[in-house]
Amino acid sequence: MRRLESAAVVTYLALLYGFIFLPVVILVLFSFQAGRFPIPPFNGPSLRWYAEVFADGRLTDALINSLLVALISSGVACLLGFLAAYALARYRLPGSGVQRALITAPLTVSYLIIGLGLLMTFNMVGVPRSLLTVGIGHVVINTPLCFAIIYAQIGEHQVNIERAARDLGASDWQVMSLVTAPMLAPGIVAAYFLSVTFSWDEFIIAFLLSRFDVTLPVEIWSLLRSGLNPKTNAVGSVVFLVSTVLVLVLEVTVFRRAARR
Amino acid sequence: MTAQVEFRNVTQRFGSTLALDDINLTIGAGDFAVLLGPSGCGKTTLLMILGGFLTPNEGRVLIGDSDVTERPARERPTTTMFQDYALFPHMSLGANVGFGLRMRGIGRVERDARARELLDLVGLGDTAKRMPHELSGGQRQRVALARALAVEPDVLLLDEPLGALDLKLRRRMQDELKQIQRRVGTTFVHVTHDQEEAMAIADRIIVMNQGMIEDEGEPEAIYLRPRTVFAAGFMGEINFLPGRVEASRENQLQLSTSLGELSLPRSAAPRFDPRAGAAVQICVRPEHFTVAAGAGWLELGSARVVDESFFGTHHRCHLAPERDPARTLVAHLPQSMRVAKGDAVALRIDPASVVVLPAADSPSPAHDSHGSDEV
Repeated sequence: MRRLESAAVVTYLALLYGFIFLPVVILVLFSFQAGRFPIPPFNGPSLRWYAEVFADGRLTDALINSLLVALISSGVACLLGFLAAYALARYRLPGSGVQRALITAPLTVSYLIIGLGLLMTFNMVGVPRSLLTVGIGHVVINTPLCFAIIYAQIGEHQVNIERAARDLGASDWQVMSLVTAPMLAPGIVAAYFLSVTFSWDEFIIAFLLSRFDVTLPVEIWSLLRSGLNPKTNAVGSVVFLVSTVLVLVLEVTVFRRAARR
Repeated sequence: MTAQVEFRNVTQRFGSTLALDDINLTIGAGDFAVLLGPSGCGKTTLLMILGGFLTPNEGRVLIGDSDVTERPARERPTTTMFQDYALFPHMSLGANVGFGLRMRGIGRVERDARARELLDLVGLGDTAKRMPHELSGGQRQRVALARALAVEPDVLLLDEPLGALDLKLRRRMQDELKQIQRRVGTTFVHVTHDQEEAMAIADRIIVMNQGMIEDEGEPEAIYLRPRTVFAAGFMGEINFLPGRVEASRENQLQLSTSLGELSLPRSAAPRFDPRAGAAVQICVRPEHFTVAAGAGWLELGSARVVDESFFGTHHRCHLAPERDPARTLVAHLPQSMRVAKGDAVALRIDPASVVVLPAADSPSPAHDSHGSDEV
């Protein structure tokens, strides 16, 4: 009976993890395909398609664009999120409950709606679509996230520490930059990395708001239109690898350190 | 560096609660002053007002000759040592101690030298590179002290800094605080609810209750000659015996109590004018009861020992006097005496040790305030 139970548990877990990870495994596996089609049988391994990806100027340009948009827009989102969180946690503001709700509200709105709204707004104002508009779109979706993460880290126990800094002669600006922000560093870094991963593989907003210079997900999408090809697997694997590395870095630098304290 | 502190008619309200009620207080330059009182008495509020973290609704605050009422904390010649130490967790001890100097634009080399000097002063030399989380509570506390002293404030504020330490460490830190205060000469204003701590460190104690100052003076004066029933009860265990003034003469006071007629010197009631017929509280510290006969001592009849426990330095006894068996008195009887439950002892007091206070304000529970570990 016990054996049967544990067999059931193992089967269940195998199915669960298979369901989650099998698509990724297949994607990565067939990126090493030697032949021209990403379908069984697997004959490889070969790095042929990776070489093609990095030889393709449009793909490498898109990759660099994606990185730029992710790194810069996340920085801006983090800064805005931190400032909003600090203000709402430390000062008595009119309607602070409403303001908090307003800042986090975009988390519940679909990216499609946000993208369409921004597209129409930019059209009306006369801002041409570019990487800048994509970046703005990513700031819009990531600021609420950064705000929520950082706001959760600000607590009453830091009030006296900030007070001590003020007592020793620090100005408001010095308190914020020399004391509050460093104390919240784990939360800020976590928000930043999470925001980078979200921006890195975001498609809808990037698709709607870009024109000539596109980000990697948009470029992959246009590749897909010409049919399945191990090259798409290879570039998809690169995207996946970068996301994984980001999450690992986050895990090692932030959460380990937070646990040690 | 040191300065006098003065509060003039300081009133603070929080909503409908009156946290401070028209406080007038002067603390001399270089004094170690302790604001003592139960939680909610307004002592911390007064400290926050002095530190510049709170602007009072009414009144002025002066440090030295300058009115600082409107000045924010960063512009005041005060620094604070917080109850939870409030060290900067992301900075080394050296950077913590040097922070105030950094804010004053002093260069790194000078800052580091001064930080090392102060860490030495508090007995933590050679720790400048360590981080706050590597330290014990007592060590953190020393760092907080060093950090507050590094900028050479005129007045150092201490907000129950010893509250989180265990008893033994607390005693040691009290001695050290006092020594350091003597050495630097800065005015210290220290808040606590522990009357033993107050007596151990203070040059002057200010007893507060419900937003008002009940008593102030040297520890000995407040303990032996309290001005109010509250101060008498808060400074340590005491027996309150209600009585009535029968006659008040130039140097003698005739009182009637349930333990009989008492004749006390007029100096037993130094701070008010007892008229015949007035209701009074007669205050006797437990250690002032004695069983041995002495010339001029008041006889209170015999009493039965209800309860006894040995405290090392004395026997602490609950006594039921024969003349008023419903009343329980607490007495500290000599270490060498043999006392057992049920024994009958003779009760006597030296009239010079007795204090008579007006009964207008009802006595606080006499024994409650002795336990100093309330939060």
